[in-house]
Amino acid sequence: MIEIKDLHVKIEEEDVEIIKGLSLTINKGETHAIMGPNGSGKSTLSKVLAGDEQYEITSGDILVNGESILELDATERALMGIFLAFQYPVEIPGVNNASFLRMAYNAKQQHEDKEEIDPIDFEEYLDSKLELVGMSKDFKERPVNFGFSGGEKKRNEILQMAVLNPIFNILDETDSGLDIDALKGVADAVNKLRANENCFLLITHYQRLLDYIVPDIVHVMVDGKIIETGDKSLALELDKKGYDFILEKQD
Amino acid sequence: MTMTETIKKDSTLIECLNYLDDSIELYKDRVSKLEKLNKPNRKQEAWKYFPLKKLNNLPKNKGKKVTTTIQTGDQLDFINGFLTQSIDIDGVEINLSDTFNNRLNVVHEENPFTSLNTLTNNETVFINVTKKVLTPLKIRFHNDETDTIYTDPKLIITCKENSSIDILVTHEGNDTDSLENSSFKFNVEENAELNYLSIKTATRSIQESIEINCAANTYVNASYIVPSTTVSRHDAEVNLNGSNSKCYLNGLGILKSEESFTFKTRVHHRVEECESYQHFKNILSGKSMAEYNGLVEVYKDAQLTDSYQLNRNLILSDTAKAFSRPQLRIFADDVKCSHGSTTGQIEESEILYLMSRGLTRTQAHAILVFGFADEVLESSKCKFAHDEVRILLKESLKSLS
Ligand SMILES: Nc1ncnc2c1ncn2[C@@H]1O[C@H](COP(=O)(O)OP(=O)(O)O)[C@@H](O)[C@H]1O
Ligand SMILES: [Mg+2]
Repeated sequence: MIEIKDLHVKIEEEDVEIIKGLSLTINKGETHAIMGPNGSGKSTLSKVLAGDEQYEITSGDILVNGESILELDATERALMGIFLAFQYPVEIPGVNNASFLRMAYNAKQQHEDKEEIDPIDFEEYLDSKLELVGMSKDFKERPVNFGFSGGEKKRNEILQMAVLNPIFNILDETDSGLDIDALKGVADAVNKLRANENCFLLITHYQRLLDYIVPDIVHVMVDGKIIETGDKSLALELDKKGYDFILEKQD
Repeated sequence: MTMTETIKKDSTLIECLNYLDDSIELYKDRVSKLEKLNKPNRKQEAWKYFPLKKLNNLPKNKGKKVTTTIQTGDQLDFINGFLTQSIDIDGVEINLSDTFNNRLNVVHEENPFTSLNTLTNNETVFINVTKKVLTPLKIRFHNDETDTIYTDPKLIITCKENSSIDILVTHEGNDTDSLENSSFKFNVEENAELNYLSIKTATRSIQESIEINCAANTYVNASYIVPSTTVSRHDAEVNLNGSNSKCYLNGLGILKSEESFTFKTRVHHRVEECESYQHFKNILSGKSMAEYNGLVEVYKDAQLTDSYQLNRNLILSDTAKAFSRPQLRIFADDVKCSHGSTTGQIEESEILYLMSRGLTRTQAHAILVFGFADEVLESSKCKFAHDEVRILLKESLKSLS
């Protein structure tokens, strides 16, 4: 359902290439993981998929169900079901978490020609999702991510994901900042959201997350390219031997 | 030579003579003081950025009392600067005095308008809060709008020991060329709590002098929200005179065309273990101007002071200007004082975040601007008024784009 073809990306108005010919196909129902050292371009890839306009795609294509999405802005991509759980979620003081989620939910309803949800029904729906990701109801009335701890922000991303029920879920380092119990909780929630109709791309630095959300396929990304693809055993090998091992194997 | 001619010097606030409609004896006394009142000028730090031309043409006449009988209603009403309606709230006493100003030392060093208020005001309104009052006190200032006038309300609000109250003040009206030169003094006695919210939607210029005196163990939260204005200038002086007191000052200006909003604060930490927090924000479009000029002064004995000043300006046009000057003067050694100031546009990363949840760029921008404004309202403790104020904020923000 998602096809990334020989993608090249640079920063708008600069001459530094960050993604240097990356290809990847994710089918419905699959969970892929991308592992790679810091600075290899993982977050850039995830933001490019979400439609961040600070990056310029110089060649290649991104297809969703066979259609190129390059011309779509972040809003249109979100509405068609692409969701990025950001590595660094933005704090938005002054905007109430629950009303923000309701706006986002209703934007999708409207896009699908459905009626806006009744506020009371939404409250109930939201409560069930809070429970799913293990967040207390206090988070409804707090400003979006504002003053949240690192772990709370990550959970809040998963909450948004659960509320919006996207088809292509990208999780950028959702595990960082979570202690082991929180990680298990989040992984549990993600596992419950995995279905035949959607797919997941887990971006992570450590293989720890993959113990709890077991991927179908693991890719290793170094310097803007995928240099190795395998099953979940690749993650374990990587964890034991480090990235140098893969790099040596390349040479 | 008449008395008027005698004192007719360019540098004085000569126009104000018309405001003095008292008996000739009082008149004489005041005129001699008026001589000392120099008009503010750009060389003075406190007036450096202020659009002085807006105050150069003062209204010719002072507002007249429209009635001599004061009604009782659900809020205090001031028309043309005079109290016309009082309230009957248990724990709130309202008194008028016409002699008070003789006892004051009139020449204010930095702001001649404060002195002018003292000179021209004939009727000071005293509000005494004697216990914990649960009903919010609402005070409204508006003018009989047939004429361009000068008004000079003066209120002295005393929160007695152990009392508490929420006060909502609104300045309303469509009276562009008029000037309201008001003076508010708050005496907050031991263990008292004051939550104060001032909303300005009037189009007349407002020059407001604020003095807040805090005794020990007090809590003050004073918020000034200006959803629309032409000229709005506020000079606040806070004296933390008793230990273990907390004072919050919040301000928000939403400005367009040539509107201006100035907030000058002087917070004096005179004793130990007090806290003061200032949070001022502006949203500027058109050729508008905002100025925050804050100073926290921590005296030698004011150990364990905790204070911050935060000024953030959101600039939506190339021609708007924001001036930000948070300052600290510290003479004690064991204190926690900080200040911060940011001026800029909405961050693209914030827009992307909201767009990636399905909101359009326009929606995202509007939400972020509203959130920027609402954060100040959230710091006010007069919760009962928040829904109504939010409507004003939304309307005002709509008119910016
Ligand atoms: N907006 C940007 N401006 C400048 N450099 C950037 C920007 N975004 C990413 N980079 C650079 O691109 C490289 C990849 O970054 P990133 O995608 O965040 O890597 P990862 O997520 O794998 O750690 C880094 O060298 C980073 O500094
Ligand atoms: Mg990253």
